[in-house]
Amino acid sequence: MNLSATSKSFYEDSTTYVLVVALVTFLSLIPIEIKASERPSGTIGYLQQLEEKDWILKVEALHYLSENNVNEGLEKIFKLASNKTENSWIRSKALTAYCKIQNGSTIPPILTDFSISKDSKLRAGAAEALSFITGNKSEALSLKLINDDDETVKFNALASYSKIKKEEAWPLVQKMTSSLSQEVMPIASKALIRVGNNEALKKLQEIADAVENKRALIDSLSKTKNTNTIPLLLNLLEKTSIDNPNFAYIISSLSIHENETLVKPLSNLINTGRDPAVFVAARVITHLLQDPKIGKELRSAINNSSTPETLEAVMIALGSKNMDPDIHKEFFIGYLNNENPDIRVLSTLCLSHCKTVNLYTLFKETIKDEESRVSLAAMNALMNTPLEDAPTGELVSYLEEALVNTDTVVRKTAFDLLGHAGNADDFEPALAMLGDALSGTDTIRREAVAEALGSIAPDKGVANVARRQGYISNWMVLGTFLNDKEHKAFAEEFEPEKTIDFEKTYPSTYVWALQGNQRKDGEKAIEREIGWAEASVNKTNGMLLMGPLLPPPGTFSIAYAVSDFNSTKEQELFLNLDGDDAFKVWLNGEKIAEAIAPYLPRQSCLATVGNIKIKLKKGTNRILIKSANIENEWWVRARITDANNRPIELF
Amino acid sequence: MRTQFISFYLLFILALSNTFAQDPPSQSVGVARLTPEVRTAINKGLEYLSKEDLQRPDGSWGGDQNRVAETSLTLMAFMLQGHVPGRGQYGRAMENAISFLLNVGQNQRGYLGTPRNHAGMYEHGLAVLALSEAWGQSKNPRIKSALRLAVDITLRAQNREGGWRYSPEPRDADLSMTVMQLVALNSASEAGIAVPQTTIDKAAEYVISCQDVGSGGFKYTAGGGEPNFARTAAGVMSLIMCGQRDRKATQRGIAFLKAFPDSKFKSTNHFHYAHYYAVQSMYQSGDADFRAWYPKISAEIVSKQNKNDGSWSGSYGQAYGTSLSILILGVPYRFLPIYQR
Repeated sequence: MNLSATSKSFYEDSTTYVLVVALVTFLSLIPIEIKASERPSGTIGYLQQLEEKDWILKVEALHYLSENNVNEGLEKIFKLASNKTENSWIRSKALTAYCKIQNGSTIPPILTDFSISKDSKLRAGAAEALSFITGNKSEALSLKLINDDDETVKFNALASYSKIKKEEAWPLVQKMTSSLSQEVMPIASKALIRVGNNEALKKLQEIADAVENKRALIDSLSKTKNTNTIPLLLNLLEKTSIDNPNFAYIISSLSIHENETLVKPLSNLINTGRDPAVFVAARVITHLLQDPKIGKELRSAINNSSTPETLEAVMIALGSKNMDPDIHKEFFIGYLNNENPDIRVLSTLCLSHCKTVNLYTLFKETIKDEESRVSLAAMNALMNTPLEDAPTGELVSYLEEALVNTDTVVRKTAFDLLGHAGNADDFEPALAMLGDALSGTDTIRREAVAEALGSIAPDKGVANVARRQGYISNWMVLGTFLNDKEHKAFAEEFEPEKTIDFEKTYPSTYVWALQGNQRKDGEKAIEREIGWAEASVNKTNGMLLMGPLLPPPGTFSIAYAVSDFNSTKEQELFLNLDGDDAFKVWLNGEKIAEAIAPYLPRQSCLATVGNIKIKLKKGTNRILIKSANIENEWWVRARITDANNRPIELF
Repeated sequence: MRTQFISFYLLFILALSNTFAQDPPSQSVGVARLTPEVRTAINKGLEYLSKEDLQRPDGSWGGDQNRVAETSLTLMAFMLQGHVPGRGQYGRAMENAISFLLNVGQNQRGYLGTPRNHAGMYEHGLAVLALSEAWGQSKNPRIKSALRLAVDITLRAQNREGGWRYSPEPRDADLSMTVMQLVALNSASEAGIAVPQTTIDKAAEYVISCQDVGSGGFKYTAGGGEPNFARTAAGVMSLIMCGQRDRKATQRGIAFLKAFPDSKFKSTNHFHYAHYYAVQSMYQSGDADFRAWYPKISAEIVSKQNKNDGSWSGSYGQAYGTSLSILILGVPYRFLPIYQR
């Protein structure tokens, strides 16, 4: 659809004109691959839209229905074209749509009527619609309209005539296009495209350089599959700024051509050696072609005089997974140390798509890059690298600088990578390097380090990490006694609250309910015998998860945890407690804390008591925790610190 | 390799005993003896499955939706007692069943799920399992190539988390489907089809990710769902099969199964599915666990048998219920490699 020449006079307001052109352009960009025999989605809506008062909605509907060849629309479109009260430009567009959908070989009477109308817009519509009449019955009328006084009518007729006669139309087209006004250039270009011989394309190139309304020209070019127009579009693209909306429009127009037909013109463009040409070729390859065969030529086009923009475009094109980036790995490696950090990032990303490189080896220096974005790009790439490539046992020294980087994002990413790629062999070196953070007062850093270490810690290491943060980590546990939804058993005194005998076993009961709402009233409890068992915290954040330590199912349960630890002297310290759902705590036989969180079905029920001042005696001290659970998460945690929140390790 | 050994072993037994199918010698080898009632129940069940009007002319059993699954299970039920495709009273029926499965694969470039069954990967896994168990026993030369193709599809359908779901593409995952594929892949691997260890390891990690931290039971997906008996039985069985019997997660799963109350034992959801995996888990867990478990479940299964025709009702029809009941009852036979420790 070409509005530029036929309608400018119709829209006195230039803003409206721009809107129309933008709308039609947008619609032209929508890929259309729908078979005529199927009803395209949205058909009904567009059929209704034809009856809207708003002209822009009508135009949109006409465009959609004609592009999709919706036969169901013929009746309504004909009605619109025949409606003498309707605006003549809309009527002419309706006629064009009608003829396109009908795809007939005879000239409909309405077209003949339009062709003899006094209204030049209707005659222009007739001239344009003639191009959709198959066969050669429209030849005579086209020739007649070529002699019209109105330029728009004349050139639309010429375009239709060219469609019938093709190269035979060249003498007439040549004559009529020798000198053109700006207004008719886009329509004349249609005629030239349809003739399609070398001379016509040469003339077309002249128009492309001269025409102000390039969008209309591109629109004409986007309607033909004549491969001879590809160089013209590429040439146009080279002269178009990437910020200009036409840039994407030209690429979209190129997309109608088969990939194989693009290779040669792109190759010719690359071989010109012009920096903008290489840039354009790289962009087209990225968006449309993605054929490894052209990769080497593109890579060879990069030299010392290439601009950063072109280098960037080429790297993006070659680094795509579909372009077999491995064959360009040396090229990418060459830019890992480029002075431009954007290029270093890009090189890193391209290499991350290569399958035959060991990124850990390649990025050894890159992760130390002074620019955090480069370092982050490298570490993120390593996160997706096969784990067997990681330097097992040496990962900590590999990541050393990143692990202590002042940038918190880099540091956190390094911790994540350590946790992801590290294993038990890396644990001791990591602990040696990062251990100070565990005993520091920076809570955020301490927790991040503990989490990273937790990902690579062997079972025994977990307790070690927790202990260095001040968490009591070695326990004896006993459970489960039966609880209920009101935590009644939490108030009940079981034997371990009176005497603790680790050798003793206790009769207990449980119910089989995996969720709080599964327990039925009056359900008979099942008997079993329970005894004390050694346990360590199972998380580096100091949590003693009860579920994995006690017999199932863990719902409606009470358990006890006891820890004996030594204090080298009598001292006053601070105890921080938390847990899910409830806990009572005794220190050396004296109850020091109790907390119970309100029951929330299927949610965490967090109970916390902080900064309890405690007095430890010299020698062995005993802490006893009674923990209660209804359902869902079940854990307790105890941490001892000094007055400055510095952890105290107690064994 | 073990399959070939089993095959030779079966031929040896056949040569020695004319009454093999009625009274196989392995019945006294297991840690839990087959009682006369159980033996009778199995024999009656197999007779029911072998009725001419039950097996379709194309060799399949079951309804239109799950024919591959029911045929695979039925084939396994026959093999369980030591019957060999192509030989003896059930030989022809078994050989026809194998042909049916192979034809399904041939028509779908290796994929064994019933066409249009949205959960076709279950069937694919069951068919891989049945064909793997049959390989070495059947003379059908097509089994090997069909298995290779089918296993290749399974391998390519593993998602990033390590699991599988309803369709043969690497998208989402759930525990039940992952266990099915793990069992099938282990069986195929035992039969000599190359299965990368990384595939098994990743799948085992997915299974573990479905474990509920609190109870030790297994959930439907890593992200959610409640743990239950059936899923836990499946999860435990698959982990043991992956050589992870001593892993903490497996032991917690076994503890979950053992703590499951007797009162719920008979009426658990997905009865056959749950007990098919549970009895194998307990068998693999050890003699003491199996001795305590098997009498309970065998008595329950025998009590559910339809005394008129020897069938069992199941969620997906009589062939499904009967073949799974036989597979549960017959664990002590140990003729199927997948049932061996």
